Amino acid sequence: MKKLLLLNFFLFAIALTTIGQHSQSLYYMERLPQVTSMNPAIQPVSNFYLGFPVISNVNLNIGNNTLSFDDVIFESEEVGSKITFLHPSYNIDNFLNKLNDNNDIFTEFSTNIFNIGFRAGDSYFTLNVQEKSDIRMSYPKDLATILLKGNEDFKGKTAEFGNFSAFSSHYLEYSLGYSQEISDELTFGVNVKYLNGLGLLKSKDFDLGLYTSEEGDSLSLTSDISLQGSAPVTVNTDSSNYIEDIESRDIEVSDLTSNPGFAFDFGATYEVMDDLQLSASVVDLGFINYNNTSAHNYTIKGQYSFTGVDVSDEFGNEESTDPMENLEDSLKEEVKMEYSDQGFLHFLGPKIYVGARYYLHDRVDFGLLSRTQFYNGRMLQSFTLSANTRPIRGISLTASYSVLNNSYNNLGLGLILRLGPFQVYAMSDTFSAGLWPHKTQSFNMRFGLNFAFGNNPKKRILNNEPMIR
Amino acid sequence: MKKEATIYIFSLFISLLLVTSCQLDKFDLSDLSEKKEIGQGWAAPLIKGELTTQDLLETFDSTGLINSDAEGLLYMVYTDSLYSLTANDEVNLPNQNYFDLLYEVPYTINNFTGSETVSKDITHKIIFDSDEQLDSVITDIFTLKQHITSNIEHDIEITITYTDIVKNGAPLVENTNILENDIPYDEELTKDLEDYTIRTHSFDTSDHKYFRMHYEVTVNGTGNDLNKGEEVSIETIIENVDMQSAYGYIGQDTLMQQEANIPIELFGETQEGTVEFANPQFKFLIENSYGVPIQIELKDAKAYREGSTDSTDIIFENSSNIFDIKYPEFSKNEVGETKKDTVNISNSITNLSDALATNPTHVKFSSRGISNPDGLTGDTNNFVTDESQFKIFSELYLPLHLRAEGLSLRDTVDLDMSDIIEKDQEEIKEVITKFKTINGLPADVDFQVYFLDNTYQMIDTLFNENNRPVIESASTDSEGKVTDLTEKISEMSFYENEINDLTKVRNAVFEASIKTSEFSTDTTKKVKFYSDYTFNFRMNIETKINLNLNN
Repeated sequence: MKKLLLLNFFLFAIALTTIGQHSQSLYYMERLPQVTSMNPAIQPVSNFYLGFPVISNVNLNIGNNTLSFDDVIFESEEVGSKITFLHPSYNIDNFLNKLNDNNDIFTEFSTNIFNIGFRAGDSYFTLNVQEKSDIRMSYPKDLATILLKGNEDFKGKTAEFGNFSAFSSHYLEYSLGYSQEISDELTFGVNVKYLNGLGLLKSKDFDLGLYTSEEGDSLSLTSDISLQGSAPVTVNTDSSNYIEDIESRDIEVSDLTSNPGFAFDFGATYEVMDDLQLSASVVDLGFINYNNTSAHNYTIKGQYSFTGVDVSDEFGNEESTDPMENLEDSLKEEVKMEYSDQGFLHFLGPKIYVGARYYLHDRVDFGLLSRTQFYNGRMLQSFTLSANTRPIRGISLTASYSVLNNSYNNLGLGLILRLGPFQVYAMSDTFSAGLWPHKTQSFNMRFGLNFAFGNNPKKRILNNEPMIR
Repeated sequence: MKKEATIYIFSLFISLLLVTSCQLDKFDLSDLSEKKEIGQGWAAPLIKGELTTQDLLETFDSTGLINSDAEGLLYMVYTDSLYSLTANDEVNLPNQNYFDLLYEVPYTINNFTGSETVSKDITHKIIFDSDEQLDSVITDIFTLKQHITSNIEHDIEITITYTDIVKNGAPLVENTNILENDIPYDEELTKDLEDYTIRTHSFDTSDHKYFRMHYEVTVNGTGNDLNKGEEVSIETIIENVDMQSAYGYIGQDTLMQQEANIPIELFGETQEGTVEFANPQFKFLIENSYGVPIQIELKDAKAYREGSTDSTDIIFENSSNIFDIKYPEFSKNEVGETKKDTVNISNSITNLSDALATNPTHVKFSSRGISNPDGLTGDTNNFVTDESQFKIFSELYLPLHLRAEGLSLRDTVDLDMSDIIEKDQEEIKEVITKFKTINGLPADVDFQVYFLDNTYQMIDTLFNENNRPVIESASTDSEGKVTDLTEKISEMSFYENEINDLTKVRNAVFEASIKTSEFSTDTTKKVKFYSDYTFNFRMNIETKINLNLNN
C-alpha cells in the first residue's frame, strides 16, 4: 500500500511539474474541434460538432522539469534491491546534483462543460464552456538542500529561496470563437473569452534568503514576499498583521460570478505553397479581476538576524521576561506583515504557438510546432515534431517527438476514431513514458468523445465547387 | 509512396503501443527497501547574553544587596537588623494608689443642723518602677477610681481638685454628694479619662516626684447627732495609663539586648578558596526616635562557617565596641523626630580582613542598648512617644576591590531536557556546542554546568571535567582596573549515547569559580569590579540529526 502511495506521489509530483500545456499533438489534428483552443484560426473538419459534459474533453497534464522516476527510485547494487533517494546508503548529494537552480512541478486539468461549433460558408463558429484548473510550483535547489541536508553546506553563504513560486488557479471559461477564411491561403480566427475565477493562490513576488554565518553563530533571514489569493475565507490577523486564524465562510452563489475576467485567443494560418502551411496563434491573452469580496493580499517584508535567544534577563535579580516572547516580538518588529482584501488583476500566462506543416500527400503530413509560454517572469519553450496520417477512412493517427521542459525523450501518439456521428480520440505527447517510465519527467493525456457531422473534406470541396465551370 | 508512409506511421504507432505495455514492470516496487531517513546538519545560534558583574553576583547570591558607589565600584552588603523595645513597652507611669482621710468628727454635737466645711491639700509620692523621674505623661486614656466611704449621718458635699491632672490647662475637679439616707456610704466611682496630662511635682528638698490633690468637704446637718470619730475617707487609684508621650528622666535601662547574625552567602560555596578584601567595612545604620541618650555595646563578635565549630573572634581596638548614638533632643525642639546616623567601626577592628579571609558564612555579635548611660548626671530632659524605638541595621559592606581564588558561585535551576530533546522522533547523532566568551571582568572564570536527574544525581557535565575551559581574565592595570577584554571559544561535543542520557536531565547546576587577575604572580594585586564591566557569551550549536522517515 505504501509503495502504491509512493507511486501515486511520484505521479502527482510529475503532474505538478511540467508547466501546464495541452497535448502538442493536438495542434495538427484538425479533425478534432478541440484544436481551436490552440489556434482559433484552425477550422475543424466537421461542419458541426457538439461536445458533451466531461466526456468530450478530459485534458490532464502532470510533470516536472527535473526529476524522473529513476531519480527517485532505483536499483542499488549495494543493498540488492530498489531503494529511494532517501535510503541511508545513498549519497544524497547525487540526488541534489540532479536538481536545477529552479525546479518546476505542475499539474493541469481541464474538462468540457459544453461546446458546440458549426461551419457557415468560409466561417466557423464555436462556443465552448470549460472548467480549468492549474497547479504549479517552482522550488529552488537550495530549498531542497536545506530540507534534505540542513544548513551546514551554507556556512558563509546565503540559501536563496527567491525562485520559489506557488500557483494554483481554478476558473470557468466561456469562449465564443470565430474563424474566417480570408482567402484561399489565409485564415484568421479569434476566441473571445469570458472568465469566472473560482479560486486562486499565487506568489506574486518571492524573494527569500537565509544567510548562515561562517561560524554558524548568526542566521539572517531576508524576505520580500507578496502573496495573492482568492478564496471564500476570512483572514484574521493580530496587531502586527500576522495571521491568527483563517475562517472559512459559506460559499454563496455570487462567488461564482464575483471574479470576472476576459481573454482573447487569436491566430492565423497561411498556405505558403500547396504543400506547406504556416500558422501562429496567441492564446490566453487576458486577465481575471479578483475583487475584494474574496481577495486576499499578503506581504512579508523585512530582514531579521537571529544571533541566539537572549537569556541575559535570566541572570540577576531583575524580573525576567520570556526570552521566546522577546524573540517573537523582535521578529515581528523586523519582519513586517501587511494584509489587505483589496481586489487585484490576475493575468493569465499567454502562450504563443508557431507551426509549420508539410503535406506529403493528402493522407500524410508532417508538422513542426513551437510553443512559448510566459510564466512567473520566465519564458518556457517546447518543440514538437509530428507525423500525421489518415490510413483509412475514419481513422487518424499521429506520432510525435517533443522537447518538453528540458526533457528530450518524449514520444507521443494520437488516435481518432470516427464511429458514425461519434468521434473518439486519445492522445499523449509523452506516450514514451511507457517505453522508459523511469526516465520520464512529465506526462500528458487528452481523450474524449465528440458528436460530429460533416467530416468528409472531399464532400465539402465538392459542395464548394461552382455550379458552372 | 503514399501507402508506404501510411503503413510506416501506422506500424510505428502499433509498435509504440506494444513496447509501452512491456515497460510497465519498471514500476514494480515489490522489492523496494523500506529504509528512509534524512541526515541533516544544522548550524545555528542558541543563546547569547551580556552579563554585568552585578547580574552574575545576583544570580548566585540573592541575599546580598549589590550596588555601586559614585565611581561605579561595586559593593556587596550583607545585613541583619536589630530592634529595641518600643517606648510604650518600656516607659510608663505605673498604677498609683493613695488613701486620704478627708474629715473626722473631732467631738460630738447633738442634733446637728449647722454646716461644717473643711479643706485640705495633700501630696503623694509617685511610685516608679525604676529610677525614672518623669515630669509629665501625656495620656491617650487612663482610669481614675475614687473609693469613698462615710458613716456621718448627714448630707455631705465633697469636691476634689486633682492639681496635677490637667486638660487644656485646667485641673480635673470631681464633685460627690452623699445624702443622709445613703449612710453608711461605701461606693467606688470609676472614670476613663481621655487626653489628660498627668504631671508630677518636684520639691526642691526632694529627689522624688509628687502628685497633688485639694479636698473640700462640707457637712450639712440634718438634725441627727454628729458623733466624735465619725469620718469620710477616699482611696484614689490611677491605673492603666496609656501613654502618648512622656517627658523627664526615663531612667537608665536596657532598651535592647539581642544577638545579630549576618549571613554571607558569597562564601556559601567557597570553602577552600581565598578571598582578600582591600577595604571591608563594618557599619551600623541607626534610626532612633527615643529622645534619650543611648549607648550601644557590642560583644562576642565572631566570624564562623556554618557547620563548623571553628570561629574567628573579631577584635575591637580599645573601647570601640561601645558607642553612643544620636537622639532627638528636647532642648532643640526635636520631639517626634527620628535621628539617623551611620557608625563605621571598621577602622577600630584589628582583624576584619583576616576574619573574612576564613570564608565565613556568618558574622555574629551580641548587642546591648542602654538609655541614659551617664544616669542623672547627663541630659535628663528625656522624652519618648509611645512609638519611640531605635533600629540598628548592621552591615557588612564589602567593596569589590579584592584578591580572590576559588571563589565559587553556584546556582541550581530547573531544566527539563526531555522537553528539548524529543526522543524517538529524531535521532541526534552528534551535537557540537561552541561557546564564545568575551571577558571584561578582571578575573579568570572557570565555568561548568552540571546536569542532574530528578534525584539530583549527576548525569553529565557541559565541559569535560578534566578539561574545563578557563576563560582568562581581562587585562588590568596597576590599580586593578580592566584595560583590555579577552576572547575565548570553547567547543564541546556530545554523541548519541550522551544525548540520550540528557533526556533524563531535570536540573542543572551552574557553577563559576573566579580567580582574580594575576593572583598567582602578584600576591599584592587586588582588582576592582566596576558596574560597567561585562561578560558576554554566545553559544551556537552544530548538530547532526538523522530523521527517520520509515514511519
